[in-house]
Parts: sequence; C-alpha cells; structure tokens
Amino acid sequence: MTPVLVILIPLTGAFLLPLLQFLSRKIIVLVVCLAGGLSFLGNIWGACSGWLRPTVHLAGGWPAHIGIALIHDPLSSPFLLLAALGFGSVLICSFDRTEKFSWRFHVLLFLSWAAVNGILSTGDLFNLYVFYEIFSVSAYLLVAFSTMEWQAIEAGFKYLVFGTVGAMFFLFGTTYLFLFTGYLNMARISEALMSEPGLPVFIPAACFFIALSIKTGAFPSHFWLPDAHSSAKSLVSALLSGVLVMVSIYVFIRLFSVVFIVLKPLVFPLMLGTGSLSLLTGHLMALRQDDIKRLLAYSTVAHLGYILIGLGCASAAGFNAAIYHAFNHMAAKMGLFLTAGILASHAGTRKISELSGLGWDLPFVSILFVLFTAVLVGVPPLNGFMSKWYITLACVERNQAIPALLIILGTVISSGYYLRIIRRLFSGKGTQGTSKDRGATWYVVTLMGVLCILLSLLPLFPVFTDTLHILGNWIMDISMYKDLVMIP
Amino acid sequence: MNLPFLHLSLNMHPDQISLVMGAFAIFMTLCSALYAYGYGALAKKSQARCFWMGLWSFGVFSFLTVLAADWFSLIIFLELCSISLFLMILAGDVKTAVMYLLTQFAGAGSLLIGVSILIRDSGTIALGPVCPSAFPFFLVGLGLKAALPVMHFWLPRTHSMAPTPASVLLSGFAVKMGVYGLIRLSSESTAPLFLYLGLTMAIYGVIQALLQHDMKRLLAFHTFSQLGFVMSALGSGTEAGIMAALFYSLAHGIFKGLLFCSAGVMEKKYDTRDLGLLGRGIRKDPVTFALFLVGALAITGFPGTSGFLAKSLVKETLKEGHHVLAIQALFLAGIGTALSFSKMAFYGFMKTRPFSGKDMEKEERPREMKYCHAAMLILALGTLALGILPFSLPRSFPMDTRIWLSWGNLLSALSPIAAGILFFTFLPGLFRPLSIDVPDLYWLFSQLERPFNLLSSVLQQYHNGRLPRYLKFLLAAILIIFLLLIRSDQ
Repeated sequence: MTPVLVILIPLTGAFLLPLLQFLSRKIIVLVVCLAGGLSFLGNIWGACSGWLRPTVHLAGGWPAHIGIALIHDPLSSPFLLLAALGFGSVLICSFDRTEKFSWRFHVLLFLSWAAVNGILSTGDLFNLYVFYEIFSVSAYLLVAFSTMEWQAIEAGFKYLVFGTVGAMFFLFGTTYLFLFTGYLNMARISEALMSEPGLPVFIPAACFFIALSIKTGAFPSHFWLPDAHSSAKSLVSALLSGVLVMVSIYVFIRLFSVVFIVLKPLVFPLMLGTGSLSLLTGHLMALRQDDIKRLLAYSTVAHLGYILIGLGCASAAGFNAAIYHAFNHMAAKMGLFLTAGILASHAGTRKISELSGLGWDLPFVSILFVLFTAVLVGVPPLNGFMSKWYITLACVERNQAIPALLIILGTVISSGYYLRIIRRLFSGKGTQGTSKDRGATWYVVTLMGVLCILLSLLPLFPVFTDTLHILGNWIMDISMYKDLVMIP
Repeated sequence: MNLPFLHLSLNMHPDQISLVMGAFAIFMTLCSALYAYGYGALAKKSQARCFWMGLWSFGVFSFLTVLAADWFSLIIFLELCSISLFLMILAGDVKTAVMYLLTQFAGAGSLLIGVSILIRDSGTIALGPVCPSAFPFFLVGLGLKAALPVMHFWLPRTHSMAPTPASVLLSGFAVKMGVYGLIRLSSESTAPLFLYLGLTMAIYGVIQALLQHDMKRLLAFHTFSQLGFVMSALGSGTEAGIMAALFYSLAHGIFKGLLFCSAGVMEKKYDTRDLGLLGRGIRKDPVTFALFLVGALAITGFPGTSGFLAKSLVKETLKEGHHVLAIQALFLAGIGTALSFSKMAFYGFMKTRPFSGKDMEKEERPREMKYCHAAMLILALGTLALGILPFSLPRSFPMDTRIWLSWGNLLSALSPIAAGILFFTFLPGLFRPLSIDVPDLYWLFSQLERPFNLLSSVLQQYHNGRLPRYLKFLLAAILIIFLLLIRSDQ
C-alpha cells in the first residue's frame, strides 16, 4: 500500500459526502462509517509499513528532485498512529445522541484528516504548505462550526488571522529556499544547505520557526489557542488539542532535524526557550481560569511547552520523550475535554464554580476525569509521569537546569488547579440524581482511560525501549532519510 | 541510553535495614487501622471510603518504599505514599491536604532531578551515597519528607489538622521514610551537616513545643525535635550512628503513635485539643492516662522504655565521635521534652477543668473506644518491649549492650527528666497554655503562592482578547527571533 492511499481515502470521503447529501440519511451515515473505518485502517497500515520498511512513493513517477515524494518512515509512523486514534475517536463521538448529525461536519473532519495525513507523508516543502493550508482552513471552520455563537465565530476569526500570518511566513520561507537552492524536496534542500551556511539559511529558518510556533500555539503566539480550543464544541476541542497541535510538532521535528540540520546548535536552544516560556505561561494562566475548557486549553499550551522542551534538548532521548509525551497528552487531554464536555452539558454551564456535586451525579465520568488529570499532573506510575520524567532526564543530560526545574514547578502548579476542579466536583451533594445516559462519548472516554492505562504499562516492556531507540536513531541520523529519498 | 523503570529489590536480598523498616511499616499501619476502627466513623461515607483506601494503600506502598533497591523506585513509591496520606488527610481538612500534597510533589520533583543528575554523572541509581552534584536535590527532596529545618513548615499544620489515625501514620512512619532515605544517603562527608541540622531541629522543636496550646500541634513539634535526635545520630557518620538512627526512628514511631492516639482519644471525648480547656482526664479515663504516661516516659527517655535505649545509643555514638557540645545540646532538648510533657500531663489530665459548670463531655461509646485502647495497648507494649528486650534486635547490632545499664548512663538519662519535672513543679504558671498561636515558618511558605498569583494576574491583563494587541506581541516576538538567529551568525 502506497502512502498515497492514506491521503486519498479520507479525501474521497470528504468529496463524496456533499455529492451524496441528497440521498437518505442512512446512506450518508454508512458512507461516513465506511470512510472513517477505511481511513483508520489506512493510517494504521501506513504506520506499520513505515515503521517496518520505510517506503517512498514518487507521485507521477517523477524523480524526487523534481516531483513530489511521499514518504512513510519511522518518524511519521507514530504520528500517523496518533492521528488514527484521535480522528477515529472523534468520529465515534460525532455519533453521540447529543450531537446534531451534520454531513458538513464530517466533510470538514475528513478534509482535515486527509490534510494531516498529507503533512505526515509528504517530503516536499510546497506540498507541505498546501496540505497545511487545507488543514488550517478546515480547522478554522471546525472551531466556528455549527454552534453559531459569537464566541465561537470570534475564536475562529482570531485563529484565522494568526494562522494566515503563520502561513505567510511558511510560504515566504519555502519560496526563499526554492529560490536559493532550486529544490523543494526536503532531503535535497538539506544537502544543498550543507555547503552554504550563513545568512541565507538563517532567514528561512527563522520564517519556518515563526510559522510553526504560530501554528502550534507556542508562547508568544499562543493567544488564539485558548479561545479556539475553549469555544469550539467539546469533540472539536479534543481533536484540536490532542491531534492537530501535535501535527505541527511533527513538522517542527521534520524541518529542523532534516532541512535545517546545519543550524542545529542554534535553533534548538530557541525551542527550549519557547518551550519553557509556554510551559510557564500556560500553567500560570490556567491557574486563574474559571471556565473549565479554557483552563484545559491553557494546560494544552503548557504541555506544548513540555514537548518543545523535549525537542529542544536535540538528543535522541529528548525526541523520544517528546513523542511519548505527545501520545500521553493526546490520550489524557482528549479524555479531559470530552469528560469536561459531558460534565458541562450536565451542569448547563462551563464555570468551575458551578460544577459542585457533579461528581456524585456522574461518578464514572468524574473518576475518569480524575484519572486524566492524574496523568497530566504526572502521578507516578501513570504515563504522564513517565514521559515527564524522560523529558527531565533529557534536559539534565544536556545540562539544562532551568527547564528541568520548570517541569517540576509545572507539576506543582497544575496539581493545584486540577485539585481545585476535583474538589469542586466532589463537594456538596448531587442534585440531579445519577445519570445513566451512555452515549458514544461515554464509550470513547472509557476508551481513552484504557489507552492511558495501556500507555502507562508500556515502559514495563523492553520492546518499548527498543522502539524508542530506533525512533531516536532515525531522527538523529538523517543520512538514512536522505538515502531513502535520494536513491530512487 | 538506559531508561530505568521499576527495579524492585524483592527478588534480590533487601538488607536488614529494609526488612526492619518493612516490618515496622506493616506494624504501624495495622495499629493505625485498629485505632481508626475504634476512632469512629468519619463525617461522610465518601470521606471514610477515601480514608480507608488511603490507609491500606499507604501500608502497601510504604512497605514497597523501604524495600526498593534503587532511588527511582523509592521515589515512585514515596510519592504514592504521599498520595495515600493525602487521601487520609482529606477526611480532616481539605486545604491542609492540598498543601501537603503540593509540598510532597515539590519534594518528589526535586528528588527526581537529583536522580537524573545521578544518572548523568555516576551512571548508577542504586541506593547509597550520591555524587556531590546531585546531593543538594536529594537533601531538599528528602528534607521535605523528613522535615529538615526550614523544610518542616508543612509538618505542624499537617500533623495537627489530619484525623488522628492519619497523624499516627504521619508521625509514626511517613517522616521515617524520609529519614530512611537520609540514612541511605549518609556518608562520612555528610555527617557534620546532618549533625548541625539535627541539633537545630532538636532545640527549635522543643522551644516551639513549649509554646503550644494545641495538643496535637505540641506533639507535632516534638516529632520535629525527636527527628533532630535521629539526625544527630546520623551526624556521627559511623555504622553505629546509622543503627542508632534506625533504632531511634522505630522507637519514636511507636511512642509518638501512642501519644497521638491518646491525644486523639481526649479530643474525641472533650471535643477540643486545647490544653487550656482540658483536664481531669486522670479520674474520668485512667486507662488513657496510663497509656499516655508510657508514651510520655518513653519520649523523655525514662529507663525501661524504648526511649531510654534510643537516647543512650545516640549519646554513645556522639561520645565516640567526641561531639561534647552536641551531647550537651541534646541534654538541653531532653530537659525541654520533660518540661513539655509535664505540661501536657498536668494541663491535659490532672488539673481541674476550667469550665466545670458546662460539661462538654460526650456520651461515651465504650465498645468502640475499646479498639482505640487496644491499639494504644499494642503500641505501649511495643514501647516497653523495645526497651526491655534489647537482645531481640538483629544480631549485627554493633553496640555493646552492657553499657546501657551502667550507673552513669542511667544518671544521664534521669537527670533531664528530674530537672524538667522539678522546674515544672516550681514554676507551673510559666508554662500555662497561652491562647496565642506562635508563628512558625508556615506563614512564610503560604505566601509563596503570592508571586505566582501576581504573575498570573499580570499575564491575565495581556490576555484581554484584543486582536491588535496580540498581533503586536506577535510582531515583537518575530523581531526577537530574527534578531536572535541573525545575531548568532556573526
């Protein structure tokens, strides 16, 4: 199976749905299920094949330096898996009874799924830009989708403005590199830049850095993130925080460890700094929020900080820790957003101060909520603890004391604000009586809880260590990637 | 790189220290459970559920903590113990519980950084003395667990606000796990530091204890002071010193558990912990008083109790190291201890109660109280057994047991008690429980959240939802990134 199919399946789904909208509802649902299932399987297949035997597909048979190369390699495969899990669970959630079924939503969902898979597969800079735009446009619309509240629309607009600035820088960097080296293929550009250090390399590097930090929502450009993540529907927030943000992290790794390998000693400390500041800002801002989803959104900013710190260590251990943390964050944060959505819809408000006693009404959901917060805080045997520990280890290995201390501080602050919510949930008495309504979201949340437990068990197996070892080697040693792309 | 995960020493051979501590953990948990059973139902069912879950998990995790063979798994279990205790304290006071948990998380974090430095610098994380670069982090982390000076700010409040069975475990075993870590950490080079820390703790704790009017707070400060004795035993830096510290920890855990239990019984009965409002317990409840007396005699080091042997051991190790000043300081602390327990016995049990007209005494529940007394009896028997049967200790004990019963030793043990009691009988008014709260460091540390709040409120002002302003920030950031990257070119 070639990498093309991984992109094509969800894209087909997205284009078929508007055509089929005149048919009966049942057929649409069937198509959605079919496309979703196939895309899920495609992602898993792509991840497995990329991991076991890195594959290159040259679109149209053009050689890599002219045409577009689609690559599945050990770096893209964990992210393909992440996307599969994230999009798959959001798709299931969209069938929840409380959600109004709408084919438009599914079009956007499949469109962004295709774009994400494209970003994860492509080896070509301009192609990356195009997929990034598809991805961003569908994300803006998803944020503003269907609630038709002014908040959501304003958040979508802010996201649009920031995203456009980011896209501009991205395009500028791409153009610059193309004019300078004559290539758009990442491996080729990297090769060409090897012999040309100096100002010409710095300018595109800075452009890409800015573009990506805007798209991720790292420190100085994080302003759009809390708005977008808190105003959207819960399942969209879950998708944004769990998956879409991590895609930019993938691009960070790919660009700065392949294309700008010359600048490694300069860019990565910058990433470390941005990461530290995001961590601090996210946690401090979360401390003051009374809107539960906004609090979670700020916590996402903080966790992006953890991941960026991991990347900033620029060592195999750091990359591994960051990717592991991305998975843990995905599982826990998606779970948190979905449980928060259930709690908020039960209470009729998103204000933390008005959630009292819900823990008695919805005991199962609340206990899962506690589990997810424990993962994010980093309570020992859980996965969040392990990945934070690996990040700390990587920091200390590189003699980075301040980020390591900030990680500890973050743990303390975040346990402070999560305890506030939990206290509120279990204070007073339940009023509405226990609710036994089990929608699709309920099952997905349970699934996320199980995923957290499974991820916590991973470090017990030596296979996991080997896996991380292979992954780390692949990222650190780009000659393997270059050989893969340039030989055919 | 080697990524360590739980390497338990269960399949290896945990040494004697681990085994003794492990047995002790189980003993204390069971005593506390028995006491808690008699102590009566907690206010809410959910609280009770939390409490019992915490109690049993504490038993398991503390047992595993002391059996762990490397620092990393020790820290994991230590943190799990903190969470179990958090669940137990939750039944008493939520704010205190949160404060306790945050403090312990900070300590665990510091320990984890220490471990990662250890991995980087020495490549091994086996229990034992650590390299100097990692030492400060270990000291802070374990210090927060074992309540070293300045890092003890959480202790008085936590120990006094927690439900009594939780205080028993906190004082009896939780701080001992920190001490256990410090025992593993101690080496020749750390000895002087530990000695001075220990002496500070012993003296400061006693002074603070004398100024308290809340029974449990008084006991909490005595825990701090007694930990000072343990630390000064470690300060001799010898094998014998480590053994003395271990023995002292065991003895202290048991008799302090007993003392907390009796304070809890009094509190249950009279609904107050204020020494100024208590009294007459000797007539109403002679059993509690007798058991309290065992504990009080033990903590002052009366011959025949475990406290006597423990104190003799500490003195002996210090004598070997020729730390004359230290012995004198501990002598002073001993006088203070005697004074403060005379005060507690007198105001808590002997004196007539001030409000004789309004009887606040509750209806007794003899059947349930019986379990409390049974738990206390076990602890009292433990205290006496440790005092009378010194030969039941592990055979590798490096001390000559005969010197314990020499006249000089008996005299040096009895003299501070006699001095304390005499002083108290002549000037009882001097130690009348005042109804003022003496400030400790807690206030200082509770202000720590201020800077964070301030910082976050400043940040909040910049997150006001105005898009143009956001774009200005973005522009500034872009310029800075360009400058940083281009400047590094030259």
